[in-house]
Amino acid sequence: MDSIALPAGGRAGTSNPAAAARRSEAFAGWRLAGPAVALLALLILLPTIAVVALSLTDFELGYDEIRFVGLDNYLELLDDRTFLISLGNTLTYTLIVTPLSVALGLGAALLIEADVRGRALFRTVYFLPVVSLLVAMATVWQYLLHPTIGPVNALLRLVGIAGPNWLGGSDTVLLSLAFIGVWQAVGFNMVLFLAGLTAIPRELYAAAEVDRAATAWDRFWLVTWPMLGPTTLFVVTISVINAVKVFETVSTITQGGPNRASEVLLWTIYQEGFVYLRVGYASAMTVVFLGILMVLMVLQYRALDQRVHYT
Amino acid sequence: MSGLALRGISKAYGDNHILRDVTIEAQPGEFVALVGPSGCGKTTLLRIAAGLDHADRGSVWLGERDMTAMRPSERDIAMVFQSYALYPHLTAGQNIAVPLAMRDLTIWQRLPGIGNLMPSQRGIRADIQRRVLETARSLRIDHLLDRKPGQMSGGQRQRVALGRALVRSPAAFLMDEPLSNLDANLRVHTRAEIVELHRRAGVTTLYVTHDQAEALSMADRVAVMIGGRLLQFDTPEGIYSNPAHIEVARFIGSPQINLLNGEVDAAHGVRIGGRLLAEGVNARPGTSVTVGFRPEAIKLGAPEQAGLIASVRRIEFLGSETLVFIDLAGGGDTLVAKLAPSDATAFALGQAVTIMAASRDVLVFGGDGARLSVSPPMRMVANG
Repeated sequence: MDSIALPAGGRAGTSNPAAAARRSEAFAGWRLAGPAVALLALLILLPTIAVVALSLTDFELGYDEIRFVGLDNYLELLDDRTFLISLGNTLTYTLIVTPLSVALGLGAALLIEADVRGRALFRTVYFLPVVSLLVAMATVWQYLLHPTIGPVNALLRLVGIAGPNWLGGSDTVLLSLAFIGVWQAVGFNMVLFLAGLTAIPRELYAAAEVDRAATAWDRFWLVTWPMLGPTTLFVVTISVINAVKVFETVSTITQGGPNRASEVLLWTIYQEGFVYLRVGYASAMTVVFLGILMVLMVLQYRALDQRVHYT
Repeated sequence: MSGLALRGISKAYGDNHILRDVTIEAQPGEFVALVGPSGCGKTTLLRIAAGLDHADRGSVWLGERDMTAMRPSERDIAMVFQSYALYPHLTAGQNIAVPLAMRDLTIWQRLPGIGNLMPSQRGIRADIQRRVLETARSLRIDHLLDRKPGQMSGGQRQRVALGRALVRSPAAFLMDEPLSNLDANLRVHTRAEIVELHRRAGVTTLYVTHDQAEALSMADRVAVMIGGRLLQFDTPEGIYSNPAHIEVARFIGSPQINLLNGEVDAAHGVRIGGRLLAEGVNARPGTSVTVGFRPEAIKLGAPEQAGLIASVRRIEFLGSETLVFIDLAGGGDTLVAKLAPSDATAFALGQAVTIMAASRDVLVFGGDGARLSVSPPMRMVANG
């Protein structure tokens, strides 16, 4: 009888099926990630590279000539008084808006979560500023803060204080804009905190009560605050980014004035790029702006990420 | 040491009655298990004892102290939660220290940073550290004190939760299914450890479980709750061999008790399909009753012996014992008998057998589920 020849392996040539399987899996992975990678490259990576490239030129919109100038734009920034003022103003604005909007957002979330009546009403009311169009609301703020006909100063007059020209005085304008910024950010932060609060296991509060954490203050520091860590980190991050990006209120209400007292980064970039059409120079500012944001984020996550995630 | 008493507790959410007039009094140092199927209200009862929920009616007493209106933090009661409820941002040691820090340090001394400047806190903190270590040693978790809950196994977390409850020597312990998240081996092991801990500490303990084996093996007394009512509160032996209600008989025991429908005849005997099973039952002639006997109470005999006639349907060998499932002749009822494996070898599938039980092992329940007394003590049942 003839011996039966068994086929020696599935496909000829593939000496190692495991390696082949790994390769095909890696390929499938890239194929699945492909659309996202392509879009990211097209919409974020390429424009960023383009901005960096433009920042090294003297390109101006409307002129045909374009010249490579190296780091000249950046050197010019160092002596640009407007840019430096704008940098300082943005910093001040962020330092006021971020802590206030985070603290007030958390406070509002805690109050709403504390089982009061009209929870849905308060949630909606606090969230309204987020959905309202800031450009439209700017008019309202202009009226509210008007030195003579504004209700704010009218109230102050009732208690015998002569209110300042909130949006017109160089001492108060940044403060007023920061106030509007807080007004707008609180609702958003509150919603994020509310989501964070509902994710805290109820049993932890029960355990805290049994463990003699008798007051709300004790339970806040024992359970709520540490458990909100990841949410707080996220809220602070978002708040900083939004504060650094302040533009709408400046552009609609003050246009950087009076006397550059409300000049902020995005407004300055906008002026250089779209009013004076100095695209190269504006690009250099943009790169600095992006750099600041990235450094802030990296610092924040390096410093805090390990301390807010416990598992 | 003081006892823990729940008196006349009722609780309802709208029309949904969770608890109906439940009274449980645990003697000082007693280990009481609350057992029942899920949704029977046992966890709610425990939360009421802790002060985390409030009863609509009834009172909670610790010794001579009426705690009904007290907050959980004032009750001097420790609780172990089913999920353990450890603070995930604190290490095991810090978790165990929380109740002591809350009790012994003032609000200013507890403030991070500033608290360290407060006078006399150093001594208190050292004392807390010492007692945390002591507790951790007794639970053999002293090597885990620097780990966070996320870095520990379920069994280790469970010990930390026990430690947090033990450390402040409370007047009473409440445990809410503390073993249900452990794997089977660890569960049996930890069962023994908790009993041992209780024996050493001697603290009155209320232990909620849905696992009857846990309740029977650990507790001094077992409270069986079904549908928001306390059906029986007795020693494990009493609960098992002398159930007061058909639901108790059904819930306790594995495999389940065998139940057959019968009728009381004119001579106060109970008959199933015309055969006399028991005599002297305290019920009116003609009433329907349910007769129950435990799987281990059943004796199987050769077909020519007196008894209920049946045939073997399935045999399950379980190592230390063998379960024999038998179909009753003329009815759809299937009974299960628990035999020693050596005794079970005499039977084969499809074989005809007779079923017998000693009269003291036969339980008779009335139509409302309540146990009926039988007098005089029954003779051997199923004669012919």
